[in-house]
Amino acid sequence: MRQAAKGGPRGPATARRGHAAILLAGGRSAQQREGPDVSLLPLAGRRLVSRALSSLTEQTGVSHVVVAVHDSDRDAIAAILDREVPGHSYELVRAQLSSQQTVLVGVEALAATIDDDGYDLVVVHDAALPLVSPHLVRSVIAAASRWGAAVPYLGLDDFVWIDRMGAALRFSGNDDRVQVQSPQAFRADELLHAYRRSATEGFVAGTATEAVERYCGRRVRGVPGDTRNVEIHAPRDLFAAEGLLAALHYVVA
Amino acid sequence: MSMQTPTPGPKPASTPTSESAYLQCESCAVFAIHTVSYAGRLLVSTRCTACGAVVAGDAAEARARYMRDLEHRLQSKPRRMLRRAVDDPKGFVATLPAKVAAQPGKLAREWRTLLSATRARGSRPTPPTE
Repeated sequence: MRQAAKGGPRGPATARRGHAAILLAGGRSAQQREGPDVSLLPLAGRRLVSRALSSLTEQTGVSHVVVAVHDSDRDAIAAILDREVPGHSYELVRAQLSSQQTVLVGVEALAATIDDDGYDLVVVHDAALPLVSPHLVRSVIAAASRWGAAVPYLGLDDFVWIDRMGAALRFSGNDDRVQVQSPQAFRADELLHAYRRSATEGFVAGTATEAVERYCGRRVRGVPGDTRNVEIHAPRDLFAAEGLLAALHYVVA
Repeated sequence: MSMQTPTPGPKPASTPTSESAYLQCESCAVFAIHTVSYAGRLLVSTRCTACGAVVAGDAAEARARYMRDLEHRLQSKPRRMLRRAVDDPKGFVATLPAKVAAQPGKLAREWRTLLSATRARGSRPTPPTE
């Protein structure tokens, strides 16, 4: 594990304090400025956003979630969360035009608590991946607690390819490239530092990983991802996710 | 296929017949609002408002999935009713007669949605644009 870069946060991550999460649930609608976000869609009776939030907080140590939403979705998402996942600690912030700006707003909402050493880690997740399992969240958190930053990944031969009839095909090849998934976990103070520096210097980070590696000198570690953790961005993804849920008897453990 | 205008504000507790959301169309490749139709809690079709492309599963398979889903809903109904009764006993008792009376109509609407959605598309899902 690399030491933090000069000027950045230092010291080992511990598991003594709780964690927070930032849940992105308004990116596409924020860019389009009209229409509801995909995270409001129901999937087997529950909305994507509440499925994601539920997994983030299910025995993971995540005690508070910042949910980034588009203004027009704000009331609907609050009503959904209060109804489908009552009793969870969350707050809503305004989604921005880029995920980098949105994560910055989210981590700034946590800044006061982070500065008081209130959170060890911040988990960043996208509600468009509603089938994330609590097990995967715990794996990422465990790795980030040890190494400071962690992301789940899939090798190319882990990809699930769907044919035209919707049947799953398995790709087999020799390729070192990986697909990085969400959720991603980072030391809270480092994530805050990295995003503030990115904003100050005008650095456009493609991902939180890129910002943390650049400004904290942190080597982000990978943990095995989950092929069931599908991203919903096209109609076919919805059908695939519903099929996966049915195959799992509607429980993603 | 029956389409409804999305209702702003908080959503009702049960899954409505249709919703809308931004998705990337597999036909025109544009991120556009799609109307997503449900039968009960089961997804039956999507329609791109930009190009009109409809994605729906195989009709027979959709009916089979609906029956399996209905079976699961029936099995889990006692547990869900118990939870609601514990959470809000007065509200549960007050709304129970109306909810029971509404069930046949609700199931009929779900079945109609299922049939019309799968009929509108035919029997094969739309192939994605590579």
